Amino acid sequence: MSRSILFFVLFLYLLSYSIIGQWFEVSMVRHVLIQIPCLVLAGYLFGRKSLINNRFLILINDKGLAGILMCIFIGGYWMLPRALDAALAGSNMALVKYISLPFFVGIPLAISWQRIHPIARAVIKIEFLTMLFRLGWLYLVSPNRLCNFYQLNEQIILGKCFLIIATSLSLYWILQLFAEDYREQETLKKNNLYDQASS
Amino acid sequence: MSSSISVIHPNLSAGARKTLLTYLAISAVVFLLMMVFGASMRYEQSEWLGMGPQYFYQIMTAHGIGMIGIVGLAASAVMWFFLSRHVQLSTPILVANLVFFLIGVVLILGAIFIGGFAAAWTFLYPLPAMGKGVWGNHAAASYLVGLLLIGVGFLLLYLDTARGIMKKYGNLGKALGWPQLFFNSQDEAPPSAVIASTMVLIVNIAGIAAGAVVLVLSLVNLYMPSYELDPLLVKNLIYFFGHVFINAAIYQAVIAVYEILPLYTNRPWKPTKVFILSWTLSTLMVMSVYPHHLLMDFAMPKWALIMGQIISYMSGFPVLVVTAIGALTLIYRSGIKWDVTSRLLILSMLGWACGVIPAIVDGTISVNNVMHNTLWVPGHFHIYLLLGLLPMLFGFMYYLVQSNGNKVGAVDDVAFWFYLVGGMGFVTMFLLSGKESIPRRWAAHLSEWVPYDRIASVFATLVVIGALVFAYRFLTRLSRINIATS
Ligand code: HEM
Ligand SMILES: [Cu+2]
Repeated sequence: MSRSILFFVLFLYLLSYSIIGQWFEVSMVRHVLIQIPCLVLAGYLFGRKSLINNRFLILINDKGLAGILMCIFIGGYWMLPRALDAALAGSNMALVKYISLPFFVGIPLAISWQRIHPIARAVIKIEFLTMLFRLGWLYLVSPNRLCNFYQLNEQIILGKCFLIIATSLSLYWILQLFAEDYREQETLKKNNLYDQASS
Repeated sequence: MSSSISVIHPNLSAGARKTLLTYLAISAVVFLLMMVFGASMRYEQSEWLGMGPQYFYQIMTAHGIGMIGIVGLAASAVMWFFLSRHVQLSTPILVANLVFFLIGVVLILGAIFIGGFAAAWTFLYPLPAMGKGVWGNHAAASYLVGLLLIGVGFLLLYLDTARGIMKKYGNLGKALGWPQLFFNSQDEAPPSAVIASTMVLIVNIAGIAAGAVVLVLSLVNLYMPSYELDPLLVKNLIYFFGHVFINAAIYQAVIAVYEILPLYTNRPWKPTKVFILSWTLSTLMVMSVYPHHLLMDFAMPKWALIMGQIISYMSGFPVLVVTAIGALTLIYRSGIKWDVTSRLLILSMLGWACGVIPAIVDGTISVNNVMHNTLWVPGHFHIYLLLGLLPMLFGFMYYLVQSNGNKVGAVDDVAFWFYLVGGMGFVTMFLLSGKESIPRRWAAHLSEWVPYDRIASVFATLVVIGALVFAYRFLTRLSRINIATS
C-alpha cells in the first residue's frame, strides 16, 4: 500500500510540474494523447490497486453510479479545447488539471467500472468510440484553431490520431466479442464482486 | 381450421408481454397512418388533392422516416418475443427503448409538421441546413436529435440482446454457429432465432454507431456552418446506417417465419450448415453493400462501386434462398393449414423473393445511371417492404390474435386479398412508372404521367383498406391474446 502511494505521487509529479510535464504540454498531440491519459491512468492504477475494496467507497458509490458520473462529467470537461487553453494559461487551472484527472477521473473510473451495469459499460464504450470519431472529424474540418496555444496543423494531426485510435479500438473490441468466452467471465465477475460487497 | 395453433412462451413475464403488445399496437396504428400518408402522395400526384409541394415533401419525409422507424420497432418486438424463449432479456430495457422511441417521434413529428422540415428522411447534407425559410435550423435540429434518441433506444435494446446471447452462448461467433460451421462441432447449433438475432445485433450496433457520428456532425454543422463536412462521406455514413437498419428489420421479422410456419406444417425447422453459412455471409454483405445507393456519385472510388454492384447481386441471396427453400420444403405436401397467418407468411416469402429481381436490375451500375432517380427505386423497395416485411409483421400479429383457439372472420380473408392485389398492383405501377422514366420525389407530375398515378392510387387504396382490417382486428383483440406460459 505505502509503496503504491509512493509510485503514484512520483508518477504524478513526473507528469505535471517537472520538466517532463512541460515537454508534454509543448505539443497538442503529446498533451492530449500522452499526458492526459497518463494522468488518468495513474489514478486508475492506484485506484485498482489500493481503493477498489475500500468499504467506505463501496458504500457511497452504490452500483458505481456516482463514480462513473463524476468520471464522465469531469473527463468530458477536459475534452473541451477551451479547457486545455485554460490549463496552459494560468497555473491555477493547471493545478486543477493535475488533481482532477487522476483523482476525479482515474480513481472513480477504477472503483466504478466493474460495478456499473454491463449495458452501461457497453454504452460508455460505444459513446467513447463515437466521440473519438466525431472529434477526429471535427478537428480535421475545423476552419480555425480550437486552442489558442497550438497551431492548426497540430490540431489536424491530433484529429487523424483520434480516428486511428478509434478505428483500432473498435476492431480490438469487436474481435474480443468473437474470441473471448463471456459465459464464465460474467458469472465469475459477478460472484467476486457481490461476495466482496456483501461480506 | 387454425384452432390448434398454439402460442407458447415458456418464460414471458406479464410486464414483457404487456410491453411487447404495446410495441405491436403502436406499430399497427402507425402502419396505417403512414400508409394513408403514402396513399395521399399518390393522390396528390394524381391531381386529386392539391395539397401543394410544401405539404407533399413534409408527408414524404414523415412517410419515409415513419415507416422505417416503425418497422424497426415492430420487427424488434418479433425478435424479442422469440429470442427471449432462449436467452434472458431485460424488460426494463425493452421499456426504455419504447420511451426513447416515443420521445424521438415527438421531436421528429414536431420538426416536420410544426417546424416544416421536409428534407426527406435521408437528411442528406447539406439540405437540412438549407431550409431557405421553409424550415429553420431548429426544426432540422429537432429532427436530427429525435433520430439520435431513437438510435440510443435501439442501441440499448441490441446491447441487451448481445449481453443475453453472449451469457448463454459464450460469444458472438458461437452464437452465429461457427463451431458447427467451421470446426465440425457436434454440439447442437443455436436455434435460428439466436443466429438471426446475433446477425442483427452486430449490423445494427455498427449502423447505429455510424448514424450517431453523422447525426452529431450534422448538428454541429447546422449551428456552425463554417465546419463544412464532406458531403460524400456524410452520404456514405447515412446510407450505411439506413441500409443496415431497414435490412435488419427484415432479418428480425423473418424469425416469425422460422418459428411460426413449422407450427402450421408440423415439421421442425432446424438450422443446417447452409443456413448458418448464409447468415454469416449476410452479416458481412449487409454491411458492405450500401454503396449501391451511391452508384451515381462519380467521385466515389471505383472499387467501392464495383463492390456495391457485385455484392448487390449476392447480398439478398443467401438468407433469402435458404429461407425460401426452407419454407417450400416445410410446406410441400405438408397439408399446411391455410389461414390469414400462414397466407401472410407465405406472401412475405414471395414478396421478399420478387423484390430481389428489380433490386438487382437497379444495382447494376449501367442501369442505375438511368433508373436511379425514377420511381423504379421506390418500386423495388416497396416490394420488399410492403409485400415482404409488412406481411411478416402482420402475420405475427395474426399469430397472436389467433392464439390458442381464437378465431377471426371472413372479413380478414377478404382483407388479405385486398392487401395482396392492391400491393402487387401498387408496386407494379411504381415499376412501370420507372420504366417510363418518371422521376421519384416529385410532388407534381406531368400530365402524361397522371394516368399511372391514378391507377396506383386505386391500388394504394385497396392496400389501405386491407391494412385497416388487419390493424382493427389486432387492436380490438388485444385483450384476448392468449399466450400460454408453461
Ligand atoms: C399503402 C402502402 C404504401 C404506399 C401507398 C406508399 C407510397 C409511397 C409513395 C407515393 C412514395 C413516394 C414516391 C415518390 O418518390 O414519388 C413512397 C416513398 C417511400 N416509402 Fe412508401 N408507401 C407504402 C408503404 C411503405 C412501406 C410499408 C414502407 C416501409 C416499410 C415504405 C417506405 C417508403 C420509403 C422509405 C420511401 C422513400 C421516401 C423518400 O423518397 O424520401 N412505404 N411511398
Ligand atoms: Cu441498400
